[in-house]
Amino acid sequence: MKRKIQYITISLFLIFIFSFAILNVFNKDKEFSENENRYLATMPQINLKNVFDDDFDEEFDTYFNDQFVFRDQWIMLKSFYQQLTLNIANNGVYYAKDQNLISQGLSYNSALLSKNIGYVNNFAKKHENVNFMLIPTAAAINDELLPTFSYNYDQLAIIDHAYNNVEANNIKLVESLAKQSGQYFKTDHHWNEKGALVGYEAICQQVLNKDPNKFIFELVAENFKGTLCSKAGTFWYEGDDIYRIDPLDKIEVKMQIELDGEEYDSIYMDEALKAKDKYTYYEDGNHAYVKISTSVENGKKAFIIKDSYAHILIPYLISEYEEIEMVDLRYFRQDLNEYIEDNDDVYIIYSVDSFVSDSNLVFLN
Amino acid sequence: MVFSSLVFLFAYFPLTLCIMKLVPSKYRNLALLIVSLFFYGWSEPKYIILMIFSCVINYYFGHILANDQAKAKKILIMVVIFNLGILGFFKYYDFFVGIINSFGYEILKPLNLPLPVGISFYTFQAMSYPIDIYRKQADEQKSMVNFICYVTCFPQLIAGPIVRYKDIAKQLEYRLESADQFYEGIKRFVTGLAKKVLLANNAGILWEAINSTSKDQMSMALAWLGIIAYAFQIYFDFSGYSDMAIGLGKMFGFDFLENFNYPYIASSITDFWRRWHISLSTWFRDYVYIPLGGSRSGLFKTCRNLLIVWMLTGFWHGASWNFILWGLFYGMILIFEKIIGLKLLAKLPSFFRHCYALILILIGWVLFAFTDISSIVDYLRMMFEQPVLINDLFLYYLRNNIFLLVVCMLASTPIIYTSFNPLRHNRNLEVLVPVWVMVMMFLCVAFICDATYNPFLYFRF
Repeated sequence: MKRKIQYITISLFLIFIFSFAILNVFNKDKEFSENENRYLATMPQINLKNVFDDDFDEEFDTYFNDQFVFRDQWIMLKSFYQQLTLNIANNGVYYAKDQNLISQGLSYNSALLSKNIGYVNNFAKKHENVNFMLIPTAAAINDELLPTFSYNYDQLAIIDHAYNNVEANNIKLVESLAKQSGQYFKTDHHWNEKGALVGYEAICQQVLNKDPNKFIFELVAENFKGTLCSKAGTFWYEGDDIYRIDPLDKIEVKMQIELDGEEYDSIYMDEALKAKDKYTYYEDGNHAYVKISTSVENGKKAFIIKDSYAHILIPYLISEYEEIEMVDLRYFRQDLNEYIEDNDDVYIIYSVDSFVSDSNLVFLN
Repeated sequence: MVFSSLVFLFAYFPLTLCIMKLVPSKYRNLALLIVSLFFYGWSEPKYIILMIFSCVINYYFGHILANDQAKAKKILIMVVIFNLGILGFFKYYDFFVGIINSFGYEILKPLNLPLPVGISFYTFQAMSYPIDIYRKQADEQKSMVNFICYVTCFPQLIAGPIVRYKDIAKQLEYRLESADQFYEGIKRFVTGLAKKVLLANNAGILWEAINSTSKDQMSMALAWLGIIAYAFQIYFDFSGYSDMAIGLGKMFGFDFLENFNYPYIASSITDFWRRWHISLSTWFRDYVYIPLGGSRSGLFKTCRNLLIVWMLTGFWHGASWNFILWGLFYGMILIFEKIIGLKLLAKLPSFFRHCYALILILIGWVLFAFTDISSIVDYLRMMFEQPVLINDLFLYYLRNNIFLLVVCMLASTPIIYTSFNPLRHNRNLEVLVPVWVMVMMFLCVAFICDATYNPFLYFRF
């Protein structure tokens, strides 16, 4: 009997090692990882100089890890084990109730926050009609979904602190967002069409002084597994829905991506619905500069300095402006003053988690 | 290359296994030598020459010592100077230059040479050979291949255990490779891998997170949780590595000595050092402490010897003041225990003895964890003077890691082992071994993959 167990153990162990070793040799290299949204390492060149170079082993290591067979399934197994062994978070994401995933913020850089508040305030003093919107993330609004003993820095206190120190038209969102639930994607770190609608209504009330328009929502994609799902490795979770948002009165749009880039007849990218990151359906995701002209003939222009939370707000705003220019300070390296005109409504729209961590707000000045 | 990497598990190991099992037993030492040099050269292609040089010289020292009694003492001095010279140059040169320069003599410049991997381990192994021959505790090794094979043998090459020549001399000539041995080797290797990947790495993540917490988010409980996580990290990392080395050794027919014996259940510091990194403390005992006179020449000399040994032990861990401090910290406690402490401790209930030992060990790890003295002082202050006792962040870390911490605690004691041990011959429990091996392998590979998983949130540009 003991002999038998020995042979079973030895065989299983050897089969495990050798089968993955052999599978790995014949496994075709992948170029790009959708879950990680990055290019994977390729086989480093082998030549004498290279091999005696100190980095060869590390390069080969990275290559071997990146291209290892069933990589995503291994990640999933790890996440599953973490849940099984009572962890409440994995790779910086909380396993919240009802298969919600919520991004974790244990600490923030308070020096950077003070700097960013300063940049916004200086900017607001130099320009007219500056509207400042800080959007709390799901961790602050949907805290009833968070597991017991989870911990996040106080986003609402940060918003209060920022609003108290910036002399601009600071748009208040928190109360209306807190009124209902389901305003954030369950598997992505962004707010969804419902959350953005609250943002739009706040803009109508606090900037435009008018009643909000009406919109039609059309389900265009299901099973959008967002960034939080990728980070947490919970690939078995159900995905989110993506909606196309159209004003009740039809509006024609032209969207130009990048300063001298291509022009499109829609702000929606149907291609993105087939890809992994379906949030790029809205204005094709992150770009340094996007300009949208609409058939709303009211002569009003908006200039928006933003992070990606603004992308899903744009479908609502096109019903209010004849022209919208959108700038992402992470990539935009031109002088802002050359683009902002005197009568523009200027918006600075950031989610709290990028506002406390993004060092590119320095380009406001 | 480390054992807990995919490259080792799924490329180097299967290839090496094939080579080692296919080569006729006559040439196995040569084969082992070649695969070991490849293992070392993989990450240190340049320093491989240094290692071979050190082996060859020590081999010839051994040869001379075995055949020339007249000059034995002189040769022995040369052995010590040669080995410590190499170690000193590559590991400590910059440290000493730094000290000289701090006095204002800018004569020498630091060389900033990268430290050759495993040099502290293989130097100690290589020099034990001529010394053992001098002491007539071992016979001359006639084959240089066998000798180099002993020093460079890849399972224990880069992180021990430090194998002494006389302990393994016979196995170099003849070793039994059986299914029994291979089976034991697998069990041991997989246990070590799980300790390293599932326990040490995750305890390390917890320690890193707590250590990088800003002071205003700290509480006393969090500081203790942090250093406890560090204690688990360092123990399971090191003992896991030793287990893997011992397991791999068994697969190839070697029996290495044990390196750890549940150090955290020690009831005194004396006891702790009998259980922690046994191959190193034995080495220092046999090659430094006893030659200095040990504890047989009066109290003063005993204390002096203990301090010397423990300062060197600390310094061996790294070229930095904090390691010397760490060594002296233990030296002082051991002297205290030798003179009076152990007698006092014997009067205490066992619970307090364990608390005494654990608290001192944890303070020791603070000294070990930070290379600069001001960080050590800061951290100790947080452990003893932080006004906030418990905060929400502590509760979060405790909650999120509760399973890990409980498993680490249990695995630090012999509870798991002994609760299975009486039933070891019970066939029903042995049946669990293949299940355990497979579950651990799957989980370890999942965690190793996850460690390199790097989702990039923003759009590529």
